[in-house]
Amino acid sequence: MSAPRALNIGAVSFDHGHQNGYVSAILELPSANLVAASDTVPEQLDAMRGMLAAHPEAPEVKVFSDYRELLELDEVEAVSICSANADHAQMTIDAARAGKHVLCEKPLCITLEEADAMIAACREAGVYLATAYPCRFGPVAWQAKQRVDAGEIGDILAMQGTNHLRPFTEGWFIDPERSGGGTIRDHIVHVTDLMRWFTGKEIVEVYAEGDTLKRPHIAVDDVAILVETFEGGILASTDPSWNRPENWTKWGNVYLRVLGTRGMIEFELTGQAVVRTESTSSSVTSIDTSESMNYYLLKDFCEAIIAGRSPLVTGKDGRAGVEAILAAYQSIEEGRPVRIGARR
Amino acid sequence: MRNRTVLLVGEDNLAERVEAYKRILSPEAITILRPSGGGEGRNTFLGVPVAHEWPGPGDGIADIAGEVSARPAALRRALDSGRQVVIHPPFGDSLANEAEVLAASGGAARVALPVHFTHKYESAAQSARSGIGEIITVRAIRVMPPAQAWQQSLFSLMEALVLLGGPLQRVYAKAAALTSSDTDTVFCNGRYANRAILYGEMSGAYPGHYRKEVIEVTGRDGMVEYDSNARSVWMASESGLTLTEAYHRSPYEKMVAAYIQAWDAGDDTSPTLPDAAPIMGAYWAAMSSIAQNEVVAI
Repeated sequence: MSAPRALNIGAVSFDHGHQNGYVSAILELPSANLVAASDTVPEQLDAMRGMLAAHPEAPEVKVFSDYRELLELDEVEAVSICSANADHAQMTIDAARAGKHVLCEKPLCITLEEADAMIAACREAGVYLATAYPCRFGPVAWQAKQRVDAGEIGDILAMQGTNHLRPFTEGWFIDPERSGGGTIRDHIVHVTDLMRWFTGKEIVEVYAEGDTLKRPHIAVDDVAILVETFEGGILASTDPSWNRPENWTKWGNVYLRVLGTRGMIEFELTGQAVVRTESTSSSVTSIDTSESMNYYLLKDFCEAIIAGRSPLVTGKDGRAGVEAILAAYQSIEEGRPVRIGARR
Repeated sequence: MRNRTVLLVGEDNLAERVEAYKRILSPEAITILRPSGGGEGRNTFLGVPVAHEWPGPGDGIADIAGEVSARPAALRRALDSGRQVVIHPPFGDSLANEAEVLAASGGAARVALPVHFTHKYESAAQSARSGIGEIITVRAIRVMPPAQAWQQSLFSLMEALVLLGGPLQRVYAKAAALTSSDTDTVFCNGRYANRAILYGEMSGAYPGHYRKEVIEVTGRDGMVEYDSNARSVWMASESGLTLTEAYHRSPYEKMVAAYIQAWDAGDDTSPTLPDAAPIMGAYWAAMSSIAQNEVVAI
């Protein structure tokens, strides 16, 4: 009996720390092989080598400082791109033109023009473009979605979500030229995507408040709250703020409460946790005990491409996130609710 | 204090209001006014008399809630009859109108501000005033079965937001009738005078006994948080899950006792007016935002 087919993946850039989680998932997955990695920062590649060394069946991984050399490898079938946001578009387009399927870190890119170019490049090359929205693959989100789809709460009427974070973002995350923005750019996309996934509907209007208040010295927004209206008049709100205290028990949260015509459901993706308190320390540690979202994100990506079907989260989903981001920033700039969707 | 009488006008939160006064006054001193009914009677469930006509002039208290549009007339009637009044907001057709009525009452009319007397809000607000640095975000979520007019629930939401973060600078609000024919849900965001960002949500659209109250104040150096579902009493029974508040003295009882004490002390200037004014401003701004789908400055 032949071994099951596995997808050969190249990890492009470790600028976003999520790449470490994706590499870890690839190492665990029977349907994935890590065959190459690239980064312009040697220390980030060293960290990856350390992770590989700790793995009992570490593969032989070819390493490059220039991602374009990685793209020249015939054995690479797909790439996971975790660069700074500003580089997502060019890297994705280059990968598509090299015939590689792409899993691109969120947010998909900076502008809608970039999103359209990325989607078009992948379509023309006959490769799949997936957006890394791992929250859909969190066990509680998955179960909640199944219950909603089964009609247990009826038609969705309203939603409220949060995706908080401790103020740990540094480097390119707080460089507006490289990130395209702060907490709105980085953090509304998970909740927005969950809301779109649960409802099957798009946002039509956003009013946003955002500012730089937690760390006034940084150059991007770090607190925000959005009130959104989805198609069909569904009310929603999202709080993506990087405003948790530095010693909060968790890194952050992803919470969603959904009201339907026949019931409601709420979940916290980071809620499955063991809390550890030490008498010698002032901090309390929350240890996530839920199954890895990244594992199931990569599992879907690999199995979809092997089977010749689209991954669950597509480039279109990534584009919708970018559209919501841009509407929120426009709302803040103009001080009014902004209608969106005209360019869909 | 125990020689006073109280006339309860309007059915909103009636049991809570009656029970609060029963802890302070004799049950025989408490009368529920139901103008639409005929003859005199007694509310057997609450154990207090029911009247169907306004009594004559008196020096008691009128506690006025009920149909929002009927509150201004009831307030005028109570003040004209010489009564002191606990008036549930809103009670006018504009901020200016309400402020004028309060000022003209010379302290006889006091705005019901039960959130100010609710321990979790008092404690959270007090805790947020020091040790967490300048306030940067405030969230108040009040999801609970409807027991009062939605406008009053919106006012209470604004009361919570102002108590926790101070005066508002601007507000944007969206309202919807999700599970009833009248408005039952409002989402809002906006800014405080100090630039902090706010989020408020009230809803009576949730099923069964589901409740959720979130109080969250974040500052540059820390945060204060409360989630009712983690810190209240949950009960599972054949009728479903019930989430209840736990206290020995209800916020309403504490509020009424404080108001009566102020009246007894001869305090002519309403101690609640300075507290009520920024809330009234926030409430009317939210109502205007709902009507116009615009951000409204306060």
